[in-house]
Amino acid sequence: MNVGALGSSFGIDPSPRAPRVLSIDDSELMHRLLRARLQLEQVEIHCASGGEEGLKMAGEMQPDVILLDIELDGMDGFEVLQRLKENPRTHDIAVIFISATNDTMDRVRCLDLGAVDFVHKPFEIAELKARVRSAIRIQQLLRMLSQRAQLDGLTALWNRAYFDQRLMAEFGEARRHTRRMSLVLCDIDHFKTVNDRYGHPFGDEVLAHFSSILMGGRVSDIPCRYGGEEFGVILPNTSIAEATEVAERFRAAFEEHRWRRHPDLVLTASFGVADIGMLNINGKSADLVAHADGALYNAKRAGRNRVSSIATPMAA
Amino acid sequence: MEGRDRPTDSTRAKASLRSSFSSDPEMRELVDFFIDDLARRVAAISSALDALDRRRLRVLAHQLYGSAEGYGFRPIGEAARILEEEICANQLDDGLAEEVALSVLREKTEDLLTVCRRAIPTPDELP
Repeated sequence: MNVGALGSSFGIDPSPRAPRVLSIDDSELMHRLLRARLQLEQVEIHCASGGEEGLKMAGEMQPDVILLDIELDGMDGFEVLQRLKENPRTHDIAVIFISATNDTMDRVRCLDLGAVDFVHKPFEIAELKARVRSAIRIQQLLRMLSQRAQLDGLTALWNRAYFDQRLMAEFGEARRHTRRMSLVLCDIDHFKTVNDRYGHPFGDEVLAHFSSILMGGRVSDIPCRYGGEEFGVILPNTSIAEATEVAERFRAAFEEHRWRRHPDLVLTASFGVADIGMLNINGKSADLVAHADGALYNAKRAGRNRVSSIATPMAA
Repeated sequence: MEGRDRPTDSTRAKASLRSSFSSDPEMRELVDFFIDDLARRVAAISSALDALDRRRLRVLAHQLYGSAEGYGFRPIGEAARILEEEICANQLDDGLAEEVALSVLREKTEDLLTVCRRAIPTPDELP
């Protein structure tokens, strides 16, 4: 499954990696201690010595767990937690407070603000390790559930909800960093006839095979099932010329496939390509979809089994 | 002073203080780092006391309270806890005469410094 560069911000691991733990504490003594004592837990330990630095690192490195001290110079731990929860890139990270406070109301406040646990300083290292392990386990389960809720059951591609969310995020990133970005919308030609003539189980096989072709594309691309026999592929950092080449490879691979149960059958698909450069400065991600949909319509109207990057006037 | 913590005999003792992890070879580097760092901390605590910088003193005590036990120096953590609590109590206790408050602050800080100075590195030859 391709998940692309922003995968982790949607709670999806781009690749298996050691769990990451970020310690936000103004004491170097605590950082040293945690690094030494957690090194056998097969986790990556990162340390920040203040709230601002911790927030920045959390956004960049997407830790699984943050160990947060309440008493920090400047911004205190409560404020750090609030800001972590306000930021979509960090609000799902499990936060464990580590503090010397004996005030019950402080501990209640930590949990009410969204911390998953509280460890009292000075701590027994075995207890801290167990709590970190527990938080990582729960994080991984939540991530798996979230991932499953965003997958299409038949094709194992990302579903429409994920497509909408991810397109908006990638579009925003491309705008912010003045990067290229393209979108391919595609549709299996005469799919209703395939279902009617060969039955729905074969129709499902066609959808699954088409999906496997899209999944076999570039690692950075994000293929999704848009609905029915329509699919969308988000291509970050990609010009329209490159996206057209990618779409052409998909088209050719699908047309060339021979179906075991129907060896004479040739199935095709049509593709519409659009890129962010087609839009004016106020253009939105929905406008990119409209352009790609217009180009797909154009490909259909021109005879199907082709890639078009020219949107029809109506859609543009 | 009545009703307040008195320095205990153990914190006044001159005996050296070893980490409770001193027999653990994996902890040697960590304990030695703590001892090195402690020399700097003792200087910083003394400076903060001379300047009567309660806020700085509290931060330094708080950091030692949270971490000393993790390095196997529970008595240091305990002395740091008492000092931190004293500073917090003084901030809240408006009725306490300033000179008495200062005297207690100095006493608790000295207790912490004394126990810190007793700390020694892991011996070269482990048992």
